[in-house]
Amino acid sequence: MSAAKGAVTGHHAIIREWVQLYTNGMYAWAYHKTTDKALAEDLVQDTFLAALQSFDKFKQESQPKTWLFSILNNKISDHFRQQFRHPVVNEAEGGLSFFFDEEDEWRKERSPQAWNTTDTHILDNPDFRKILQHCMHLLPGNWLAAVKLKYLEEKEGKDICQDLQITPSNFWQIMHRAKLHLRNCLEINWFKK
Amino acid sequence: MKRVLKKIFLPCTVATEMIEKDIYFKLSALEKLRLFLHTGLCGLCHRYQKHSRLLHRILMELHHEHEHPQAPKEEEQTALKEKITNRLEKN
Ligand SMILES: [Zn+2]
Repeated sequence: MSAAKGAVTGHHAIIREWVQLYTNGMYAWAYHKTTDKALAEDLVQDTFLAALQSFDKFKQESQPKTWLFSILNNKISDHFRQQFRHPVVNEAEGGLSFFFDEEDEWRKERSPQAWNTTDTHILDNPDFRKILQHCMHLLPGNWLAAVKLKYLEEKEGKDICQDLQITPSNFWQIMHRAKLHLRNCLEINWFKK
Repeated sequence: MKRVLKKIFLPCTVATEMIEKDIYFKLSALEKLRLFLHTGLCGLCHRYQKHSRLLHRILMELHHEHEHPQAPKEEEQTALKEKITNRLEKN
């Protein structure tokens, strides 16, 4: 066996060990971010394949887990970026007229009502989390992608604009529409109960 | 006076948009003032602002959690590990 071949076989063995050690955590993380089982599996699989291909870039001083999760997070972000194809908000599908009248004032029936909590502890409630996921997935795909990119990567607005190649005003208009709908959906399904 | 007020008082569409801009970017001093004036007088936009900030905190927290409470099922995990190992063999 040549030295090079031996090294490659060695990489395989190490990665196989990592598969045993880290798959569960990575899958749980990917699923948490995407809420899609099949997608989460694919992302984890792609991560290990990428790790094998770029094994030489792995520095022994960093933790394998840290390295693998950084690859995985890149894969997740790439996915959202790909999902984000129509950056310009279409007035027909996300028109402000759903919430506001001709005078640019709130329509009474869709105006914000008083909520029964101001606390992020509601996240401890699994029922609330279900409603939140439900409401997020009602958003148009590119809006959801923008929301997830923002909160997943914890990036500054201006960096996301660069990533998605949109202007800042495009971005906050998308967030504006997304938040209007999300707020309304949560109010109807949760906070008004 | 009324004309000046009309000029400086934002419509609710723009006020709510600025509330979002305030969260993700920075508002200029003038924008801040105009938004402050609007939310001071418009109860609905004031409420929207509170809700929007809460949603922001909820979303931040949601994506900060590293431990997912619903761990995947044991047999799913084993199947996935096997699938990945097989896939790696072909590379
Ligand atoms: Zn208003």
